[in-house]
Amino acid sequence: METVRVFFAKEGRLKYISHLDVTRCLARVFHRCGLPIWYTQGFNPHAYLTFALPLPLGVESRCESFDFRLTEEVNYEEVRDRLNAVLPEDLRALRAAAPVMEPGAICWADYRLTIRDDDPAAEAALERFLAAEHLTVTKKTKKGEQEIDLKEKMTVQKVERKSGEYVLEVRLPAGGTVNWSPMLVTGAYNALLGREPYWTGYERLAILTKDFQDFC
Amino acid sequence: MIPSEIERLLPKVQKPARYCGGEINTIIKDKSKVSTRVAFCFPDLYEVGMSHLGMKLFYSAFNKREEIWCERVFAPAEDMRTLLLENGIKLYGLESFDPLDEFDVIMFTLQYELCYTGVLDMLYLSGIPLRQKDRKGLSHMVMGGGPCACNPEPVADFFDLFFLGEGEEVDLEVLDLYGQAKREGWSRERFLQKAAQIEGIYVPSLYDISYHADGTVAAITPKNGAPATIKKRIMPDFDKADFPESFVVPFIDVVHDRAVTEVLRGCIRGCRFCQAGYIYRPYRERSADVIDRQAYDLCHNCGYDEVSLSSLSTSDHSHLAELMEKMLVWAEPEHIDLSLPSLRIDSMTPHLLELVQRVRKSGLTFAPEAGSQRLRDAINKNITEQEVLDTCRMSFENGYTAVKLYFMMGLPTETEEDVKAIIELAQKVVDLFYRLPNKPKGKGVTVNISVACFVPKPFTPFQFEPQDAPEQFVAKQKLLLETVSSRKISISYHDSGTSRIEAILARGDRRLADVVEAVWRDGGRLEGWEDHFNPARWYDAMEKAGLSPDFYATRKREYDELMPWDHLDYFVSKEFLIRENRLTHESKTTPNCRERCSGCGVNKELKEKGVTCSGNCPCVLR
Repeated sequence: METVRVFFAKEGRLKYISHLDVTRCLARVFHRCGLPIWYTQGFNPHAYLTFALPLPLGVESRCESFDFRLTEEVNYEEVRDRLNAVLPEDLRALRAAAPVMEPGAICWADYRLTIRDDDPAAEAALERFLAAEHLTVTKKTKKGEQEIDLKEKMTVQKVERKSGEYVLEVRLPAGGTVNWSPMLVTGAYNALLGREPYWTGYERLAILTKDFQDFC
Repeated sequence: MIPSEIERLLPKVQKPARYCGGEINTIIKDKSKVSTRVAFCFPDLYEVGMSHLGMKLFYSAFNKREEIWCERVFAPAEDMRTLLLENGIKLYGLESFDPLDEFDVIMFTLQYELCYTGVLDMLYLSGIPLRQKDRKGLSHMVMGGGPCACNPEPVADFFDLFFLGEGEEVDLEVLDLYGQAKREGWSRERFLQKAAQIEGIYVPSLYDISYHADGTVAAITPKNGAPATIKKRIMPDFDKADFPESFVVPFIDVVHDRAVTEVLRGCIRGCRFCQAGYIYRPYRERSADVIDRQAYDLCHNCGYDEVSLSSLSTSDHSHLAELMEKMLVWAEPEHIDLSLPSLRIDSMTPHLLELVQRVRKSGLTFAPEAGSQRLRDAINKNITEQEVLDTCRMSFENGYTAVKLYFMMGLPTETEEDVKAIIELAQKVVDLFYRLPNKPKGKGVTVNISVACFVPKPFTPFQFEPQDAPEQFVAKQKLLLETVSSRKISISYHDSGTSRIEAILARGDRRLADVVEAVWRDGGRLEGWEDHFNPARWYDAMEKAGLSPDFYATRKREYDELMPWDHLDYFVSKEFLIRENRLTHESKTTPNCRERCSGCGVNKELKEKGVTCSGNCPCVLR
């Protein structure tokens, strides 16, 4: 039995499919791909499947991964191709490999926010967002609501200003202990703008360890 | 690609996946290369519509034709509906995202009466005129089918035509005719008059209805060459009926999320309350080989881990055990479960139970429908108390500790004793469990009883019968709760409010069109949902229209009354329904179609069509 890590992209309309629904979708893809998938041996056998880091609804990514197990060896190109033959449009296996790191090693994730709005107030809000000393937002957790200051752990990696379009790349804590969603960033920005912009797009750019190495 | 003006709404709604398409096995065509665009509409939420087998059948059958592109459309939930209206975006097809008013044919499946206001809302959100008379030219031809089409009169003014019976062939014939009409530039009227000549097509605008002073129908008069009676269509060779090799597989959890095969159509039983048991006659089985292949293909093309053997009464299939054994050969090693939703209580054999247990560990559900033997005889359920108890005993001996029993209240001839007998029967099942020497060790038993309110339906022997008044239902529910003698029995029952509106619409006439529209204008949209449904809206609208709810719901019809649906021919004769109604009042049963032909009228029709069949009743095909 061999554990395989598949790196995949979730783009386009698939960003509106929740993590749970992607799990169900993959279980069905496993039924159809013809790979020798390993099933759990319990009362209710199901394909073993685990994700490195769930992706929030509405976020695109080209750096996601899941692990599953094969009962016999298959070369990694074939694993990727067989999955791609049956995956829905906008969900793509990029490569398969042996897992190197444990998901527990994940500490950071980089996100790109694309804000589109023709109103000059949108840019002014962005400047205030960048200059602010504190950006307090409310984070919903299982234990209830929690006030956090984004500036404590968020670093801004890159800012691009075009007319009516603003790109903001940020690094946020990620993983099992502290996990900040890019929607928190939008929450702080929208509060400064006083409304929602015309459109906000999200992409996860990288999943990183504590030393800022790509999770692999 | 989702158009940006739609995409920007999606992050703001619950379950955006309802509105973005792109599911596995979705069919995308080049719209410049198709000549007829069909919107197949299910007037309820995505999760309900995507569970419906009929939509899958037609989606597949229509899209096999090169010149047709059929897309799916569902009713939006309130949040999305508001955003669509606020942003001036019309309801769209999930495949192309094109607005519905650009489609040629708008097809609705009418599965339950309470969806009627949903139909109007979907037309409104699409910018299509609600009333048939207000639609011009050939575009957006609004068509309807499904069980409610057997009396579509309350919504007749909103539709251009209805399909009666089974749509597999006739839908495509109509789409072909539509293609011709479009090529040759016919008027809407000419198309409809031609369509009315096709067997199975009902064009309501070609019939004038007049009423007596007491509100009953006086005459149904055809015009412009339309036939006086419209016959339903059937697929005599059920094995050859088209069946999809794949389904569109939803991403989000839907009501029934599994592969479905249709193992048989029609029903031999003739339970007198059951409309499906009459309107889907004759009884036809699919062969085990064909079902097995269809199930295999579906599971492998969709990746489902469950396949349902669906029908009105799956255990009536003459080769069910053989079929299940055949399927288990591939299903078991692939971890695919078989589910049997409709098992008759008198059909359980130890072998069948063992097969069911191999694939499903959940509880067992049976439907005695009535508590007393007398009432079960009156409704022709043809199940004895001994059979109920035997099957429960067999289930308990095989390790089950819970059974669910379905009943109805308000059935014709029902007395207080019959209501109490529901609890008595449940108590006997409880007692039986504790008397069993080999009962499952260390466990108690649970008998769940679910009691629905009876709704009289057209084309059944009970079409003449009054429904119980709301206060009668309430009194019977109270009596039921007072009679419960054990904590091992749990009761659930439905609100009688919805059943009364269903009864009004099920046997309604064309005058109700104003009521349906008024309810919709008053905010009634997803009326099938408890949190949306509001009976007061319906009673208000009826009062304003000068119509009485009791006239439709609780009034007894004489045998010679002209029913609003009497021009529609579902092959079951009115004489037969009257005969069966008389037997009800004598608490007498009629044998099932395998035992003896009851002369329902279907046999005559089959003879005319030259269909030969085997069995004691000539209508039991195969």
